[in-house]
Amino acid sequence: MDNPLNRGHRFVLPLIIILALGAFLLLFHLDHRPFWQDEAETAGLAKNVLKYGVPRAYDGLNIISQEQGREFDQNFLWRWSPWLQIYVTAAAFRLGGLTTYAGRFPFAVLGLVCIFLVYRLVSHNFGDRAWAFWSAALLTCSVPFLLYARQCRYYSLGALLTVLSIYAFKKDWQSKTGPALLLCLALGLLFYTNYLLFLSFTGAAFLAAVLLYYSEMPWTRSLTLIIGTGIIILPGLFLFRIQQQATMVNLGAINENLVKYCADFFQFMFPLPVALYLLWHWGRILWTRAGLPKESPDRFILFLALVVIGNILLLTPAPQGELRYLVHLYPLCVIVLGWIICRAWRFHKFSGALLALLLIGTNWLNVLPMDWLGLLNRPVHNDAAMLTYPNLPLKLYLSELTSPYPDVNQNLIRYLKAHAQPGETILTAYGDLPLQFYTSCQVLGALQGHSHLTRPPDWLVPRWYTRWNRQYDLNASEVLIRQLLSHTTDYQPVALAGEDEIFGNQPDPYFHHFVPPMESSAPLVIYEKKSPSRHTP
Amino acid sequence: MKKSLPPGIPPKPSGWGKLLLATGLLVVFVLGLLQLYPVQHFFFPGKYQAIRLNLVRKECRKIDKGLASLQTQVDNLTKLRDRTAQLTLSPSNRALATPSPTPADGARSNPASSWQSMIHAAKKKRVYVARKLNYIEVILKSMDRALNTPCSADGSPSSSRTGENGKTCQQILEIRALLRTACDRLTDLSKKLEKLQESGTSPQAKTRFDIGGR
Repeated sequence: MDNPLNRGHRFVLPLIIILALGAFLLLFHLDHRPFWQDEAETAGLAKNVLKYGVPRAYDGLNIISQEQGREFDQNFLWRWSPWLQIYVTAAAFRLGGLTTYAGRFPFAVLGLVCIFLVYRLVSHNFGDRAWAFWSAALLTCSVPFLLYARQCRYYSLGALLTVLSIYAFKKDWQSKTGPALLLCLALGLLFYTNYLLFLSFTGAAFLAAVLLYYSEMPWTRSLTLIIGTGIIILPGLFLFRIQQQATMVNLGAINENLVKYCADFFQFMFPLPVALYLLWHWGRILWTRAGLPKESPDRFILFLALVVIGNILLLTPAPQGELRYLVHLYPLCVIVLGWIICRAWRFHKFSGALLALLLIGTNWLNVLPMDWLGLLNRPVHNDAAMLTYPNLPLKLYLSELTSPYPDVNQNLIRYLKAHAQPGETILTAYGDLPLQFYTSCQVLGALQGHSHLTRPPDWLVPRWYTRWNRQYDLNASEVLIRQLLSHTTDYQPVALAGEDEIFGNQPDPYFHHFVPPMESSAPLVIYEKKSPSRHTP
Repeated sequence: MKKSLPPGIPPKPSGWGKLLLATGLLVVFVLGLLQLYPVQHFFFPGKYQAIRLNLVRKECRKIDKGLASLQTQVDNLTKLRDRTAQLTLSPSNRALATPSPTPADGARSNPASSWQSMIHAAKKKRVYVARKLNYIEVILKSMDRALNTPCSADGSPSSSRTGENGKTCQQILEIRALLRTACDRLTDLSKKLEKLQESGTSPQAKTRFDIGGR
């Protein structure tokens, strides 16, 4: 008999299945690969938070820097990027110890909460559980989102705060204090997560809200919210030297970044044919004067679409066009895609099912149409087992999690932990921060700028991929390593296992390998100082 | 109960829509399946290598374009430097010593910053080309390995190679020749750029340029 209790189970069960799957995909073998450079920056600063209470870039042995020392002040206080992710990691280290798993754990959990919140946002506001289910399922199975959420970085935090602010916005913030406070706090915290996300998202969301929900925005309450958020972010405006970094805004890069963001967006987030369908669907608004959709879900979908478009446009003058700056938009995209699956299902069941299968199980709708139109951005260094080729992303993802990957940082860490003495110096062309985090050596070079060496380093780690600084000069560490290797015979090469990959566990689909590269780049070779001339720490 | 249409009568507009949607999705499904690497490798061996070679050729065109653009940038910088030197030497022109060749109109207002931005743009282009050369070199080496025996250095495929392999090898050799030329051009332009940078209005810290240790 179909009693209310059974009905309740029927509704809750899909959510439980989705969350269980999400928990597995996000938490399983979370530490199968060590931190790569960017993660190790957060982890290193968090480690220093435990020691000093604030994120200091210098711990008495090593300096954390990827911008030639521009990230901190004269007291080594980190002033380059917001601190929230650093404190979240520090809290995790305090509870779980200084491990890779502990560092990534809170962010993976936040990713899981994000999946739940997507479900809740749709089901609570529109009462459509099928739509809520498909949205949550799409986010759970989105491999790029999973890769980013498993990083010891702000990505899942940004996504959660984005969806939380929309959740609060859809609640009765106009008259109730709770949702208004939640909205204010979510936006404020988004600033302390990454101010680029805050600026782009808030700007776009505000404009879209004015355009579509103007009648539901009381002036006084809106102004109070703006002032409240402003007060929250005010200290950060000074602390993180935003003015100084604003000089890095490059209006000349707008065009290049726009092209890159569009390619990233269609290849990894939202298939081009679906975007074209939406354009056609809203054609009556864009090309006729039929008016905005009255129906609530329709209006909400248009709102999300405008937020996403506005967000991308606002990001274009930023110095780097990277997919990581769009990760917080994944929840919004899956809500739109979930809605489209439901529409397709109601229109034609077979097509709806096929669309769901294509969107959840493959990246074919993302990649193939772009390829046919000649718009696909497929770097020449990518191979067939990456997301820029037609693939089954979840299969690739699971292959990575279930088999050991010969990670470049892992190989370096293992070897140096076994062979380098604590306190010995390592000069590396890249990947200094993972070595700093996992070994007890003094690690110099990489992107730190000029290294002040008092004696020749004990270890040299040249890397196959040449790196230049922001002025497009060879990095000082690169030059120094080459000089040391060409002018002295004090070093002997040691060939390590595995390839010298560019980054390691970088989540960017243009660089992330799920299985070892089909085309090997270069062997991983480091140089050890010969014994007689070796410094004894 | 659903009514079935008698033969010869076209479906209603929504019927066309359903048909189109289903067909489109099925096309994506089938083509996606065929382009999965294991499936593609089974049915069309060699297709992947062809795609890779196509990509490499595309990159070579980008390198050519990049080098042409870098050449123009270096030429413009040279003109600007010569013109500035001429005007500075002539005392009557000292007051007007803010020359600018056509592409650097900004130089009229601030020659130093324009010089710097032109140098910056040229260096950016140089890095762009160098990175592409690096990648392609590695890919070609890898493709060579995939063909089991390396392509012979005298410019012809080794005698053991026949059919597709021989053709691929020939293409790799052709691309290699193109790359060598590109590499020489880049080295030459890099040297010129370095000299320009040294003789510039506000020289930057000099760093010897080398194409990824080649």
